[in-house]
Amino acid sequence: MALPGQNTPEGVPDFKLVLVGDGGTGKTTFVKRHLTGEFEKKYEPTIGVEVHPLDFTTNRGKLRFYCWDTAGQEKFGGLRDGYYIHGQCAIIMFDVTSRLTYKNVPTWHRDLCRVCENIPIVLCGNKVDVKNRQVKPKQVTFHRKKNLQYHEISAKSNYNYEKPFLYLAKKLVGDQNLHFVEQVALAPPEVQIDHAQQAAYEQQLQTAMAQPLPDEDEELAE
Amino acid sequence: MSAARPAPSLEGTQVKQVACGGMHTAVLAETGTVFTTGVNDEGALGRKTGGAAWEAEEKAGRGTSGSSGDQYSWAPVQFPEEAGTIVQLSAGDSHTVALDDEGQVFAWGTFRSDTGVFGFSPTTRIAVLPTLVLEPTKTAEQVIKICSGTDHVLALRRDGTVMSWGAGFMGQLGRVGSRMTQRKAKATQLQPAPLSLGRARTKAAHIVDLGAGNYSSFAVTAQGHVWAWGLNNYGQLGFSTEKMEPVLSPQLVSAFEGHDVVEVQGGEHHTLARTKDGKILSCGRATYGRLGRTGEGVDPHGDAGCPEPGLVQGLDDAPVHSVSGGGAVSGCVAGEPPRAYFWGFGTTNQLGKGADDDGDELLPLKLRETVKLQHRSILQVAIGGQHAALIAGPQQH
Repeated sequence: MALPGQNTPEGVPDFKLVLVGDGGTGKTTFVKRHLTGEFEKKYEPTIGVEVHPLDFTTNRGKLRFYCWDTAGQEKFGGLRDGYYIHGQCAIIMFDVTSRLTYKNVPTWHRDLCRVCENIPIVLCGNKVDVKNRQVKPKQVTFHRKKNLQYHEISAKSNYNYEKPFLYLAKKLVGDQNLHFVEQVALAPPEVQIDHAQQAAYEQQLQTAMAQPLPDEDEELAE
Repeated sequence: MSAARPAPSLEGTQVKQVACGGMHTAVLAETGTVFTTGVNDEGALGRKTGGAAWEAEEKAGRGTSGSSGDQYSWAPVQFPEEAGTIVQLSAGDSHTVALDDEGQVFAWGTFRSDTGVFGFSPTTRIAVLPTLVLEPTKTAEQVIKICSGTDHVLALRRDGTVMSWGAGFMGQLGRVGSRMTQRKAKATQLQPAPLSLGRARTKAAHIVDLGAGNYSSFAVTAQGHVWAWGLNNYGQLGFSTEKMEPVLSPQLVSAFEGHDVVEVQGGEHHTLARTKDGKILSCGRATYGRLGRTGEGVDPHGDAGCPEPGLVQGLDDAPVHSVSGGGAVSGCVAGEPPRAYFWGFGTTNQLGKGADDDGDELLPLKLRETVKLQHRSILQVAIGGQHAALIAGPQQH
């Protein structure tokens, strides 16, 4: 959903993308990486939201996400339904270096599912460029219970920037073979990621995904 | 974990109080020893473990002697020499506070704001060990009660003064304006300071208890009046939501007048007030059932606020002994013998209903008993970010 003054070019499908997550998890840094989106963003003061048009070119043509980024509204703990309404897809973000920001993921997820039924949602663990991080992949379990797609990203290094958008685009278009055919113009990386370390994390993640979720129930009384 | 189970390695320890933070838990043993467990990324455990906060300490070359413990097992916290016997604890998202029998307050961890870590004090980003933050110089200044919101702390002094510190961007400190530069904000908010109770004083109100929701604060007087400040976007302070603005200084909650309130606790967007006659009034956001009542204007599937307090239902006249709130969850200890009840958002199994049942509860639900929990009186319940804890008495047959 675009704001007044934002016009989608003829024939380009557009989707409202809701971006949520605790304050300080890097949502705004993430959305600002997309240079044309940053250039064409618009601010809506009544809801307190900035809407960035993010264009991607796929093998089936162009598509556009209108990415809704709160302007500090999450400090009220949660967002009002007016922000979610008509959302067609969503990204939930947390900070892998501060696991406290994972705490509210179930709540963001519930609020999204309550207002926007059956939309594709991606969970993104941001700041994977930080060394010695604490969210070891196997501790991130909520999204497994809910079958949420999970990607590790680093907004500052552009690592995996396109991954969440590609997942959402495939779901929205209904084509698992959809792929991006052009590089998106992104702001230059501010940090470098340790690719060997990250590959090790991704490997751990794969292993963890293959393991059953912990089940350690206490015996119930009669 | 989906049903209540004993805390491993604390079995055999007589526990006096439990405090749940965002992703950590602290308990106070009868002996005065404090044990912590959980996430220590920002120093909330007050003891040495692996992880970023402690690695930063080592890099800075600060007091890192002693061996590193496990974050996920209970282990004791060491207090500085000047500490007396610890008598009370409180915990928020990434901080823990301890009060000793000399009225001194120790704290550790940090406070977060909407941009990430805000700080522990004007000069310290994260305190990884217990740090003296309130040191009384005379009897009147001794602290007798502490409580924590998500990122703020309240302390009641013997002379009736309320001190506040932490992050105050939603008015929860009751003493700071809404606009402030970041540097000034740190100096003003992270330094404990008394707040002015204005009319509360002149009304000869004697404050006897404090309470906090995630972003809200409450003072309860001996006469049963309630003063509130902080976030009111869903009417969680009992004030009209017409303006949606945070309440920046203590205001008398007229909606609670005449109810003889003795205890107030809250969650992220709701508040629970226990009355002298053992009932609970709730107000704020109704979504996911946290208000524990149904009826006109209370829509658990919507997003509307209910600023008008109403009685929590479904407790069948069982007298309520204490209440607890956290996030979108509520709990209480009620009945004879006392039992635990929980209601609200159940997604992370914090209602303790057992495997495969993480649905919401719109009315209080008696905690499902496990073999180890049955025939025990419940002494206290506490609710954290995604979890809950309780203290149970000896098994009685």
